[in-house]
Amino acid sequence: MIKKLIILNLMIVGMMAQVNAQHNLTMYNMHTLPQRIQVNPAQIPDSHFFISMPGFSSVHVLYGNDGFKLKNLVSVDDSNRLAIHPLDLFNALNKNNRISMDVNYDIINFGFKVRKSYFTVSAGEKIQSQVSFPKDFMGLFIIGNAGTNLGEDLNFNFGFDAMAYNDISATYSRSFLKDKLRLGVKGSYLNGILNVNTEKSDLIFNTHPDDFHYTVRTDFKVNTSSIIDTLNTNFNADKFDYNILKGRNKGMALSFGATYQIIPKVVLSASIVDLGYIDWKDNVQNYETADPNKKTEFYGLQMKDFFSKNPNTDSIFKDVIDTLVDKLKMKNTHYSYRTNLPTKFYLGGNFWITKRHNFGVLFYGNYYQKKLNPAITLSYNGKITKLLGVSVSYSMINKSFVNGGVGLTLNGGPFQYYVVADNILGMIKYKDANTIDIRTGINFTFRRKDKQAGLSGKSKKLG
Amino acid sequence: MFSKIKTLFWCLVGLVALQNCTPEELLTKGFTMDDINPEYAIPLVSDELSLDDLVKGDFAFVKKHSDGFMSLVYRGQMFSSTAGEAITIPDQNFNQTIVLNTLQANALTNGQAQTISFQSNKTFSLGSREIDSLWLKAGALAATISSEIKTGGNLKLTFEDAKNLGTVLSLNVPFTYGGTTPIIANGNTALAGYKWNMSNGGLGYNNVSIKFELTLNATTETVLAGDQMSIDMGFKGIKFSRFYGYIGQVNLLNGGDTIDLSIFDNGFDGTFTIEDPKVKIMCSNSFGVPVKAGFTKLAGYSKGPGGFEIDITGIPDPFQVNTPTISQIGLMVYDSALLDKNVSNIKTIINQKPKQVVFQTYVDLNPNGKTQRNFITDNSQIKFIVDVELPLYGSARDFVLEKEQDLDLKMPDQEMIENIMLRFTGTNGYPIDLATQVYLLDSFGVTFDSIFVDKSYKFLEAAAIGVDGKVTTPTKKTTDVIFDLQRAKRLSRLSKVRFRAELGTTSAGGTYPSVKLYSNYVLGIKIGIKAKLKINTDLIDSLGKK
Repeated sequence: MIKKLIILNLMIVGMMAQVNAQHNLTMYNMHTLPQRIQVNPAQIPDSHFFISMPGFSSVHVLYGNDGFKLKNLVSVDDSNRLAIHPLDLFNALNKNNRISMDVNYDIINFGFKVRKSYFTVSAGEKIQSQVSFPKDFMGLFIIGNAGTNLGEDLNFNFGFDAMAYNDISATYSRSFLKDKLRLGVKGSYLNGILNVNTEKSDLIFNTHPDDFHYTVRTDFKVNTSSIIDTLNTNFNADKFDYNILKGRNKGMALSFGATYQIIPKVVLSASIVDLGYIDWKDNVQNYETADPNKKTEFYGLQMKDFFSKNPNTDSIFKDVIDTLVDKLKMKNTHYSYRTNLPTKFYLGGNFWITKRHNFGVLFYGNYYQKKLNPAITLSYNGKITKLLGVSVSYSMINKSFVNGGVGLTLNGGPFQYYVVADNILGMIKYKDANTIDIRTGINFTFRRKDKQAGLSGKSKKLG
Repeated sequence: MFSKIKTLFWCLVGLVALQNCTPEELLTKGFTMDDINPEYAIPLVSDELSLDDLVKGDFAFVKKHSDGFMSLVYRGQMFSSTAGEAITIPDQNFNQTIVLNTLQANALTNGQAQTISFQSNKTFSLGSREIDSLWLKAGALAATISSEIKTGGNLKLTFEDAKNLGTVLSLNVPFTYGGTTPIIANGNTALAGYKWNMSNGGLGYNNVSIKFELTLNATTETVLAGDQMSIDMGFKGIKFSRFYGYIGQVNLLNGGDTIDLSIFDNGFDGTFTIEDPKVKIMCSNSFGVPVKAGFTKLAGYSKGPGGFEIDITGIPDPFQVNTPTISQIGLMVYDSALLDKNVSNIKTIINQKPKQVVFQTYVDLNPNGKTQRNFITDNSQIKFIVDVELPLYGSARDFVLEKEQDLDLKMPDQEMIENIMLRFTGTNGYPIDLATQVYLLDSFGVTFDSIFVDKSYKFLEAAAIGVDGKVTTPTKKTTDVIFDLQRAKRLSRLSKVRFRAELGTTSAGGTYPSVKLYSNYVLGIKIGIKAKLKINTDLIDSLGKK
């Protein structure tokens, strides 16, 4: 059974497209939820001890798209027909557009409080994938290589990144200054399973305005690594070798967090999460443009070939491709490489109107492919009853200004079910959505505090 | 209690909220798509045409002189058969009978072995041919005996004038008496590698000297005087590598060739002048034999209406053919003759643009009989090469070339095309004006359109020439030809194109002076196509139905 689960797990890893933009904007302020520690090691839940249900601890799925919304591509007209708007789609695109998808799966997660300290231990798997596609490529179909594109450098720099790894983490936090200040740190041991890393993927295409000849130059570098040698062996589930799990793709990560009660009703917080790397050494393939400075030009056929081949658009396209493949050589090496984790940072502030209810503001950022991807969130977070914790958020993510998030925790005795989404509206108004994510799981929490300690404000004791 | 009511209230609120959050429905019938008009540009042709490209053919080439000046050379050739093919040696057969005398018969009957030896001379039967000596590369000697002598033994035939690396040619035919007569036996040996002197010590030719040596074993049978043995000998499949002697009078060659002057193949109107055309005749010979050779015809020729055949004058008759010396046996020796405007009417003929030059030649060996001994190898041959050389120094005026070419250019769907633009970019490195037209023909050969409006569109001006007569600056021109929707639709009929090119050397005040063409001159041609498409719902619907 365990063997099948492991194999299934690896297959899922292999199949999943990934993402790197987990935001967790709503969860950050859910003080009833133990999983918030993952985004700020100094934030602790309202329970003295928790343990997540093994296998149902936390499942987090995220889809993000910073390029276009579905409404840019299609609408429904008065005759109830699907109307496709290619030009609107093209105009809505960024120069580079990313579609990302994350799946995080916690196998086990528990934590406990000892006086001023809080300890947690967790183990899980993370899958992150991201596809980037260039506006120029869509322009090739919608504008063509002539028209306004004639003479322009079009960059068909597709990118694909995927990373799957096991994460075993331990968190420690402690309060200081009469509980006004709390500092936390998380250390993670990482074991890489699969990686596709697009370092560079420039494919510059130019059509000369005078004689229409094509110029192409490339600058590729793509690295791959997998604990299974998929190139040289046929994967056979029945003969699965557990030793491959002892792969050499090792890494580590640190996360730091702090909270500080600046005045009685105001708490500030900050964290840096996943500051780390994985060194990929197993079954490494590096594919790289042999000579990035080399330009390849296609001027057309020779006269005799033109008449002997009876060319058509397909054959000319084939000639172009053959010429490019022949001239733009790639080299294949096997050098190990390092990938950094998508580090994120959070800066937040919460105003507690009572000891059970607060309003929060949160700045978020991650840095991917030399580009800062920010988000900002306003939220309400409250413990409505002993049984029900609620967070409602509004976020601006991926140039999208309509992201309404919701987080719920339902408690029955120690049993806690939770669900969090940064853009619940995206699931309903999917045509307007850039980002959709959802996290859910089951915890067992013990000795929950009814009220947030150390805060002023009126609060009625719950029955 | 109150807290439970409150919890229930919040749960109900949540359920109502979720109920209102049903996803938008997407029930559609068909689809529409906004029109888009992508434009695509494709480089179709890019070529630099030098004279090499223009005249390439199996028997045409460009000759580059040391200063880069160019000549077109069209070549015809006529080869004789080789000596091995033309001079054959028929199979030769000889007979010999050996008869026992009384002494020999009695000795055998008395149990004494006997050896009978003697020499005999035979003659190869070759008609008028005379072999002094022969180097053999193939053939076989075979001998068959039929004996009435009731005993076994061996017959040895030795040809002491035939040696292979010092080893004399010989053949042994052993035989055995089995109780019945005649005794039949045979033997054979290969002749390759033997050098055979048939001159009988310099006194004659075709002589075959054979030494017979018959060994008869002792026997208990009765042998009678008069018992005999018949010997049939044959030389079959003789091939020589060298032949010394006299091969007789041979008409080695009587044939001709046609030289296509492709430069005039597609030429129609106008004038074309080459200042100093030449015909160069080269002869190579490796027969060590007196030769008489010559041309029965050498003429410029054009068939069809307006055709002509004009003899080219000035050919030496007979044509001098050098022969190798005995020490040059097997080697080719050469001779040549040049016909130019000073000794021939070749300029007049070439400037009438003949499509071909035809020639007939003959070669006779030993034309005056047996005046000297011959020496040949099996590969000896006589070859004539006739080069028509056109040094590219001349003028052209309204010289029209036309050529038809199949072209199955598959176009995108007609409904998809809004318009098409063909862009021609030419770079002319020749001091020749080029006016052109391209006709578009359907599969029936009917012209349905032409690329340019003018019949003689000045596609490229002649390149400028410096004081040294060489081009200083190539000219360049870009021509765009728009095919609107209606014209573009007609392109679906395209099956062939007919090119029409009108050439004229640089006009200086209305004159057409002679110019020289050099090897670095090229004609650069680039053709690109730009198509504006229209893609909309109707198009996608129609493509879907197809």
